[in-house]
Amino acid sequence: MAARALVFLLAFAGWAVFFYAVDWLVMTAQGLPVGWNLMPLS
Amino acid sequence: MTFLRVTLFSLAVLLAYTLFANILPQVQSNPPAEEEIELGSLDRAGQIAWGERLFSGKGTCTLCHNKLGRAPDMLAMDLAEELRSRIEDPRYTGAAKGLEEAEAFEVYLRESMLEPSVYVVPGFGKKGTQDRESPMPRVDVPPISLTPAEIDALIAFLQDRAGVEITVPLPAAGTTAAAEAGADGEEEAPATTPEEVIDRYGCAACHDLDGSGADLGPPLAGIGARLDREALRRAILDPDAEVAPGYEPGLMPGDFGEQMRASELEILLDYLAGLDGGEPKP
Amino acid sequence: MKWRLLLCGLAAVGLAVVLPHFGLAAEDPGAPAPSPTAADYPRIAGMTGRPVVWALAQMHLFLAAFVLAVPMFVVAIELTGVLTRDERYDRMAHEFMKISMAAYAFTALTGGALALALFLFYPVLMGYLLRVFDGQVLIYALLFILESLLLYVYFYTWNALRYGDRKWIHLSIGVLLNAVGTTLMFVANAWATFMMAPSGVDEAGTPLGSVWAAMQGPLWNPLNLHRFLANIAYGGAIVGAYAAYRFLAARTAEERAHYDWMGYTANFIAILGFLPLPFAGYWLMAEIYAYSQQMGITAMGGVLAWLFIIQAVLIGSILLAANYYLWCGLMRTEGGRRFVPWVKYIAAVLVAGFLVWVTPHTLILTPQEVLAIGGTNHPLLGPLGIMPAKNTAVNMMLLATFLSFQLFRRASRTPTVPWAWIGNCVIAALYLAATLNIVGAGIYGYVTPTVYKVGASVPQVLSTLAVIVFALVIEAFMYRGAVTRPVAWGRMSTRSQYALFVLPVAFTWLMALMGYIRSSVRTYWHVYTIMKDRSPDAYIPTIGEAGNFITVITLVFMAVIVFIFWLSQVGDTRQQAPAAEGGR
Repeated sequence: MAARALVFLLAFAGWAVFFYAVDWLVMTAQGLPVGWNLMPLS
Repeated sequence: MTFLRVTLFSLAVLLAYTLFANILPQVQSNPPAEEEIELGSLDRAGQIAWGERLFSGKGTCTLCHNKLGRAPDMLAMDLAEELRSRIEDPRYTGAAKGLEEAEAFEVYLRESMLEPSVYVVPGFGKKGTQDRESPMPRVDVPPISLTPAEIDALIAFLQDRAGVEITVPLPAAGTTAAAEAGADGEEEAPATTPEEVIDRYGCAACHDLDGSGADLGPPLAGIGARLDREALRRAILDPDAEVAPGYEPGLMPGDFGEQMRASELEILLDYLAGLDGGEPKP
Repeated sequence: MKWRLLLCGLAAVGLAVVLPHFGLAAEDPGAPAPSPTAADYPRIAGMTGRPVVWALAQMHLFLAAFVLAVPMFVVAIELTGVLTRDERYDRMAHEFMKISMAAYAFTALTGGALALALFLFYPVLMGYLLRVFDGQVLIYALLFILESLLLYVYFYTWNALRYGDRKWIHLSIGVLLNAVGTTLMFVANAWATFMMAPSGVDEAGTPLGSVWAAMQGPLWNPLNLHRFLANIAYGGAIVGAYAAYRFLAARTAEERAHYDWMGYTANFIAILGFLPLPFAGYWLMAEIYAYSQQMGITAMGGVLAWLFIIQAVLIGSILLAANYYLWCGLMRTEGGRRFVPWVKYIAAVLVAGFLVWVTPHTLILTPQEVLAIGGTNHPLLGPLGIMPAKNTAVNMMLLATFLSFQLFRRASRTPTVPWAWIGNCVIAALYLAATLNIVGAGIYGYVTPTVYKVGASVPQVLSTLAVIVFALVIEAFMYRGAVTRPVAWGRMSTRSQYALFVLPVAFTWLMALMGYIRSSVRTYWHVYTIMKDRSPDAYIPTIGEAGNFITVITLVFMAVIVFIFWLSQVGDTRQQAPAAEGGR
């Protein structure tokens, strides 16, 4: 059970980083400058 | 038997879709009329009113210049201040630089309509162009196709809003323009009395007016004593800019500027300004 | 019967191509676009052009979409049959093809009738289009003849080129057939997109001399992709209805099993084509906005905005029906039962997404209603009406549909690889991360200006696609050498088959609705910004009017399809020879 939870958490972290990277790339590629937290830079 | 059941079932599904299409609001969009009207006799006030109609009508400006943020909301901002700062912006390299104010506004406004990409307000450029290219279409070519006289009228309207001297010429004698029919077609004739205006736009549904007793918005009895004409105009065109204490913002529709005709707005303003606590004068 | 219909169609196309050239010879090829007057729109038998052309164009599109799509997945199924050496695939592919053959003649017929009607009712416009696209109609006609030839060769050599190297020749013919068919569609799409967003001509409409430039309008490729995917979904849906009908009418268990399996495959194809469709639609809409903000707003925020609420209802019913069918399918296997408890959660996501989607943003209200609601937007539901909420909803619905499908696939197989539990954890984490990203981007869309709102919908779309792609890849490895449990094909409720009828009805109606929108965004222009429509029909009809018209076209199409099904079935029956006289 603990092994399952660990793998799940690791996988989740991995996907989260992946999706964040995609979000950042997509927003920047559209010419929309975003900050570290993906909020628009004012 | 199976065939009959399947057919009936399919028909029922189809009927449901059809019914749904029929219960939604029905709007027919007619092409604009192409008859021409004579404009040679227009005076300054008429030209400004014409410009205002063009702004929300044929010019289709309000499609984007509204509070949804697609383009700068020109009717809500302090136009004079905004134009001044744009012309002084070092990024601005157009022809309006260094001219005397009223004239500079005219040149800038004309430029922005005919060559929208000369100056792009930061944040409003086409995606991916770093604000170097404007998404705004030129207004003098199809589909908008404004004539020079119409562009002048728009500038007059905007100069008037910015509170500077109006520098564009009046329409020359013999100028004609396409008669306006709203893009939504089937436009009603303009209301001609304050009662008609109030009825059409449903003011009394939220405001206590002539005993309607509604309390979503402030009562309008005696409003003329509390607000002057200009403040009233603002309150109608941009209701959330200032909300009377004790009332919710966001309740009053912000698109009366698009829905009302200039003449209707003036009639309504005359009427409201006259409600000074004494007897209402229709 | 088929041959005669096809000949009529060919003759009509030929006439339509040749006839107008007589009248046009005098027109200067370098002149600007003509400006028709009200007198240039003839009435024929008291009819104006639009209803006639609308009905014929839509009928032609329905049939064409169907006959172009079927060979695509037939070749794929045929190939699957070769690779898996499973004869059932080949038999099914052949049967799909048989249905499509009967429809082909009708496609040609309606195509010819459409061309003729266009030239009769809109001579000035068609003259101009012919001038812009120059000799391209002749190429189109040639392609059409080639398509017919290949189609007949492909179908009739099926049994002759059945095994070994010959099978590969047959498959190659199939690929060639699809190549020609797709080209045919792309050429025809170019005419439609030229009218929406003209290219290759100057501001007055004078052709600049290159047909290729006229074809390559900004909307051409988005429309190509959108129609390509939609055709596959549509073809699958119609074949599914055929299978469902045969299933319901089946007398033997064997027949039931066969048509159950056919219905399942058809539903799978329909969903496969359907899942990426919203994204293709998004691209098309984004290009429309990029081409002309006004055109985009006319569609999404103006007169036509309500249609997208109807679209939402239709897509919602399509997704619900397809999911319902998959859920019923869980009962086909012993392994599927353990997933049944999940169904209610998936259903909840679907229904919630559906409700968000049908929540309108602004309503045209009477003052009394404004008073009752307290504003033009509902204080709680109003925020659900804007785009970030709708994008979030549609992505969640697609994810739920994909999950249903994934559960169904798992129902009949048990993985044997030792790391299967890791794979499951990774996939579960993928779903969770994607969901959070989709919802997060949706919330982000609320707090940011419009450009960011629009921009944020792209990561949402990518999240959904990522789930589909990665989950499929991981599962492909995970289920290598898996233990397969038998599927009890034919063990389906009667009710489940009705879901397969909802799909084609909804698809057909939806296609016609979208056709109405696509055509209406031009407003009162034949060729946007270049050539005005001055016919009495230049207005955009109301939703109700359009809806009624669409229903009538759909009904006619359904009648034609039933006739086609009957045709393809009657070919199999053989009357018994009468017993010889004094036979015994």
